[in-house]
Amino acid sequence: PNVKLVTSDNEEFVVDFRIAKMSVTVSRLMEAMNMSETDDASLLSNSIPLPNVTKAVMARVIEWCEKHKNDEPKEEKENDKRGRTTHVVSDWDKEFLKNDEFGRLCQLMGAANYLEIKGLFNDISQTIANMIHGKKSDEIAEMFNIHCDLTEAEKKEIRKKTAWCED
Amino acid sequence: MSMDGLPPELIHIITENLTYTDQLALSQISRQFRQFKPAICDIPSFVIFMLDGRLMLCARSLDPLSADQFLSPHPNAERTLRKDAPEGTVNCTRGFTFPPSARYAPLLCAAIRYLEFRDKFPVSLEHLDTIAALLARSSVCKLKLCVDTVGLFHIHKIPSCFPFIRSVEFVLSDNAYYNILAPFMHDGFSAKLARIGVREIILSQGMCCSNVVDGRLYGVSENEYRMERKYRVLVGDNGEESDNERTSSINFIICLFEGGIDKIIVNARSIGKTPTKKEHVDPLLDRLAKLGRSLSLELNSWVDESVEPESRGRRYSWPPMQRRSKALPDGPYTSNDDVEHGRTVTVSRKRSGPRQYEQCISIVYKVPGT
Repeated sequence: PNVKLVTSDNEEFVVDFRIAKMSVTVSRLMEAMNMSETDDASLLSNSIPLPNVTKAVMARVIEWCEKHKNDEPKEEKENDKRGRTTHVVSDWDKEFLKNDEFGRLCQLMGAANYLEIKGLFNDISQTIANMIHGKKSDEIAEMFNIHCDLTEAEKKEIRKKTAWCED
Repeated sequence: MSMDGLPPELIHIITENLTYTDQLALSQISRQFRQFKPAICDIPSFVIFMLDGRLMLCARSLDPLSADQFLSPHPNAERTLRKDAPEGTVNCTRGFTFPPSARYAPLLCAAIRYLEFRDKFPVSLEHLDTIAALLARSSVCKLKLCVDTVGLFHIHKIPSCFPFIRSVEFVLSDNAYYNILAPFMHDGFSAKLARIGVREIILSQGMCCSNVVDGRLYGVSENEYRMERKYRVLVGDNGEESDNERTSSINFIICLFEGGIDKIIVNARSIGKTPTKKEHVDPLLDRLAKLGRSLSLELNSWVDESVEPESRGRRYSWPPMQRRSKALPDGPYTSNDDVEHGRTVTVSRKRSGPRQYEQCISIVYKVPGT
């Protein structure tokens, strides 16, 4: 069975039911619209509107879901901050995300957050973290195009506080 | 889209995947990012060792807030001990099963100023990457580890395991079967250390225990076997002339500086014979001058007066080389080209026995613009 997803720019994507279920948001909407895997009529007659996702981003999300549709669901430990497992981005995912410029990654992350696709969301946040990893403040600011509004005095104060690990 | 266009909750999630140093760098970009300043679990001194099959993590001199963070419930912690010190600081110890059955981080974003792999009950350096994975989100500023026969084959992992360390102390154990200095000179190791930010290397001598028989390594992987052949000392090598040993020590020091290290402290007996006399120090100064950059070298040694030519008995005939031997003066040591090279050499001595003294030769080059 297939599910129809409609993006903010009115583009329709027909995806496998399993792929649609990978998004918690879509899954909830399907439940609310009484769409079930066994009821083909309800799937054909309804489409799921996704006003926060554009066509280009949706295509990338579906590409990722296609690859991961057979993955085993991962066990999660809630409210266990210190025992939290560290996320490892697989080689395929690294390859998948490596050509996306930062702006595109942010859009993809926003879409993964909105659609509640945890695996994709974790992959992107870890990828951005990896981009930041090992860089100095000014390098991060330049890479992500962030304007520094700190005064010299503030910078000096910060440097003083963190001198022990900067030496 | 810029990063400051992302909703704060998403930025917050990204920062959770960052190390302490990364979070610190991010928080220094702009006022908006100041709110992502890392929650500090500041650990001045952190010691790792094995006890009863558990990995013991011992954090010393914590402030009470950091102690609470360090000791907060963890599903994998097996033993926890908290001891308040009179000066208001807290010493904490936690035990974890090792090797871990699953990936977990016992510390969330801690700032570890000094991490020591204890030489008694040591954690083998073959587990270096596992330890680094456990401390993945923490930043380590200074690292001290023991390099025994097994560790010798794993020190090349340090640059990938501990990014951002500023200083490393290697406690080298004496070994008749392997050239303990070889891995430091192989494959641009010192350059790799310099690239991750290491500025200072301290070399000390110590006794490290490891699971080897007669100093030889058994059950090695193919890669380790290849390295083993490179590092092996051939029979007869131990009988080298002491001057050759000194030249090897000088080559070793130069190799570290060439890699980009700024400061080296060589403690007594850590790398064999080091320059102690004028005729040994002068060639070293020449080679250091040729590097043409600012650096600092401290050579600590124990000098035995009984083998010094100046104090020798008349009846003994000394070889010509040793007859020319000249002790360094106690205090500043100057030569003609000191100013030209921006060099200061100071010798300090402390008597440690009737015929023995501790000598520290401190060599500093200050070359403008380097």
